[in-house]
Amino acid sequence: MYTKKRALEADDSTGTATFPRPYQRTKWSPIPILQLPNEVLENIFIRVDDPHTFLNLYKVCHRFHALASYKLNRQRFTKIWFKALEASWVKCYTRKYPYVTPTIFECAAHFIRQHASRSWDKCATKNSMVLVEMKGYRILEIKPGDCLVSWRAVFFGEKSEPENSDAGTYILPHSFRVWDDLKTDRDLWLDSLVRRIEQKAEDCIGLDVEDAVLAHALYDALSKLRILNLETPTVRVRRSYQYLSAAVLFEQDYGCSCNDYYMDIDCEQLK
Amino acid sequence: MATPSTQATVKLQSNDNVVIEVERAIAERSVLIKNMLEDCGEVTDAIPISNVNESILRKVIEWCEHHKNDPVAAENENDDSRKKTTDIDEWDQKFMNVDQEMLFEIILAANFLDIKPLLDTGCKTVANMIKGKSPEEIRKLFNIQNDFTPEEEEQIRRENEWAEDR
Repeated sequence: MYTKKRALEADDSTGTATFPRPYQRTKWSPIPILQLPNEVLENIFIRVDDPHTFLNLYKVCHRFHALASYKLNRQRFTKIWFKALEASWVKCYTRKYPYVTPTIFECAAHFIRQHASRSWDKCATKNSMVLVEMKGYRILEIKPGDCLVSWRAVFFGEKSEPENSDAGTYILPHSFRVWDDLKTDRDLWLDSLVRRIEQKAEDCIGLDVEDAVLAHALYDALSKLRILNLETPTVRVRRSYQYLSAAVLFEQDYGCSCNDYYMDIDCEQLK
Repeated sequence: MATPSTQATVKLQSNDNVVIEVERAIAERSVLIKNMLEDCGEVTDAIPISNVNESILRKVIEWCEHHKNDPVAAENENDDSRKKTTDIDEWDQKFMNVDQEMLFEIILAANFLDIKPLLDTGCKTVANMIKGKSPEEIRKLFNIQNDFTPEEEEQIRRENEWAEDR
């Protein structure tokens, strides 16, 4: 019973479902929210200020799925989300880290996503995960029946599997290798920062909702860090707070170098 | 003779044929009406607002009155930049504290009359209602039917697995 006047093309870097879906507003619906035209629903969706809720919109109904997963809307959402994050980040961090600006998160999320996905080759064989290449990114695709290992799990060494299982034992050490790899690429990281600033490249970067999810995770972890005051992750902490220890590494490696970088800018401008 | 810019009030007619007289400056919060007045010069007849009933029209006018001194946002700045997500001022929060049906009608009226700040506030309000909710809770909130087949649901669940909280 769908009107398929304008079924969306599969645009998709995330391999989103392409089953037939009614993109057009249905003529009349007894449900008030479904009486809103698409552009108004889009306007609502892109303001949801939490990436997980945004992804939940995919699962509500066909129309919501079509609108929320549409690439342009994902990117608009992400852009607004980062702006809002910036505001709250500035508020709580200005004193402690005067030079760490929220753009670091923006870049970090993007950078890690790009970079870490490169190391996934190693994951592929052991867990029968499939890595698909799309638009230069590798996206983790899990086949039905495979073990549950989330994208975030790979970055942060979290595990959705019991520790003694195959995947658990494999991913834990592996994720630290990912982080160690990241460390060696500081130059590249700074490069991308510099390029970004030079080009005022906010739009060129083309952030997507994955970046928001990742940055959200980082932000969350860093906030917890401050509460727990974990200066250096011990082995115990590493085990129980995989997430947090990854954040410590992140903060140490990138927080600091970005600090320096921003200080340099300030000095230069004073001259 | 009054020039268009000194015409003090305009009459608006709702779709249930109620004529409401409002200050021109207030009516001009609506870009649709503003453009219409600019194009037509002086308008003495009531302007039919064909998509909006009386109670919603009064509600919208109430909003425009309260916000009549707000600076008009620079037109066509980057469209998304005016969208700060969460903060809605207290008066607007109270104003938007109506049942869903009315809220969506206000949003539709703002969309039709082209009153961007009101539209944005309405959308923000709905976005805040959605925040933190599961798909099932969102459906319940808006009374939406789940129209996915189990296979489709499974497919979407798999696609989003990477983002799951542990």
